[in-house]
Amino acid sequence: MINFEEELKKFHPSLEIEGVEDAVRNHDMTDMTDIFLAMMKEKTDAAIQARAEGQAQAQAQMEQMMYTHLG
Amino acid sequence: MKCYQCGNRLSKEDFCTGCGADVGVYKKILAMSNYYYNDGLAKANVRDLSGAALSLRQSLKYNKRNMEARNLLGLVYFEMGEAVLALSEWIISKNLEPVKNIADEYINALHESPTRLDNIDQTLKKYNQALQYCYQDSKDLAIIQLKKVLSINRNLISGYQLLGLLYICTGDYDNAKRTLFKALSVDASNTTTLGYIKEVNRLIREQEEKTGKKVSSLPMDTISYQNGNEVIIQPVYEKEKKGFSSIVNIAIGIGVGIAISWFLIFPARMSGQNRMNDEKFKEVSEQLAAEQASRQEIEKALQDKQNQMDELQRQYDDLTGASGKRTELDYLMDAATAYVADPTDSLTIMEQMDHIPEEYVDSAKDSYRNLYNALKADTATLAADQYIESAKSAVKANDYKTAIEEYTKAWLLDKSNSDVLMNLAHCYRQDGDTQKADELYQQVIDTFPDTQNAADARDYMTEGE
Repeated sequence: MINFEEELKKFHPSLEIEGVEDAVRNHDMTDMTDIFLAMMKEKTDAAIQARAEGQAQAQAQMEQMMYTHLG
Repeated sequence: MKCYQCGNRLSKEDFCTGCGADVGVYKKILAMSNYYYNDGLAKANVRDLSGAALSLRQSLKYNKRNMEARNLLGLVYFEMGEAVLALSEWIISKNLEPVKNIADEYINALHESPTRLDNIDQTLKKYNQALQYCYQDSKDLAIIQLKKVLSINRNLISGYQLLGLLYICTGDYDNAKRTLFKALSVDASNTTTLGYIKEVNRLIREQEEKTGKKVSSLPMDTISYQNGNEVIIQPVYEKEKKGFSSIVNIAIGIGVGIAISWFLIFPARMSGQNRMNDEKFKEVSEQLAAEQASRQEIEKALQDKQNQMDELQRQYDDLTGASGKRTELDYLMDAATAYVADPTDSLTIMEQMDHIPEEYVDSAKDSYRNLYNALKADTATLAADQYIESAKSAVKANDYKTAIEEYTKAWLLDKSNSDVLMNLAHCYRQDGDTQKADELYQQVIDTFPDTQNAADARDYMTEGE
């Protein structure tokens, strides 16, 4: 059984010519490639940061060892 | 397909041979985008526009730079009557790929026809207005407005659906089905449309069960088939009953065919035939007229020749005497014959010669003139005497008429005899013609002045006066 009020909610005002600019501007252009690239960038950044942290840690350990052994 | 990191062309491997980036997932994303594009294209080909739009949107969610998918989505929107959505897709496509993009042509095609664009805009505004009427529960106004919209923009799916929904709510199931069938002819597999049709059919069946009467004249089911790029959707009609109706239909068809032949083809052919006959008749008439003119000319020439020949024949007959007319030559020959027979028969000879005019003698040949003069010289005196004797006999018998004739002949033959002239004058006087008599008396006086006759003539003239 069709409920007219409910069905009417499915219909939306059609975009008019004046609304083209807004439609283009507000168009969500994000796609899977954007998400993928963002993920890849995040992954790369994390790797770079991890490498930098590892290097700093290794350097600190080296300095610690030098103080201990050389006095 | 190029690497997202360095732009190098990718190989079959899951990593970039240029920079070593992992492109396995990236390639799968692009493959999914292409898959949905192909799916959308296949649906658009069978006019499943809403399904095609769904697939193409999905394709663009995977790869926004899939220009074929975006342009096709614009076309699908345009076919569904959503011109603004179509235009926005083409504009985005043009911005993402400015060169060698077919979207450019679509946009230009719309811009080159401002009237069409304006019409589309007007219909969209009216559709929105109709939607407002629906929200305000003014269904009648909404129906009127939507009818106007659909008479201009015949592909606006949402318009058909809304109108169908309004008809369903107002209980006009027949029109609801008609409207929804039209929507199906544009978008063959629209689930909303199909759902409404199903609902309409259910409502019709319910009503028919309640009332026991047929509510809708339209069939319950539809059939669809593809004709080129078009998908034709039409109601399934009941098979026509064969038998007597077929024979009647064939008979009607034959009758219509004969009528068409009789009223259209036959007059045209007759007209053509008549025109050809008229041309032939005209041609033959012209030939006949020319031949008649030629024949008349020939007849006229023949008549002229005949007349000339007749004239010549007549002249020839006159000359030869074949016509019966006596010629001067005949008279001279008769006179000569009479002279040979009896030289003293001067009256017969002169009678023949009297028929010969003086003018003819003057213009005749020498032989003719010599013979004439010789005969006249030989017979003139004798003839004159004989005329005088005849005249005297007539005077005695008081026959002055004959006497005048005889004296006249004698005078013409011998004009030296004054007595003849004097007696001729007397005869006229006796006959009562005193005027002629006086003329002759005067002639006597003038011609023979010193003679007795002249003197007597004067007396007679006096006596006469």
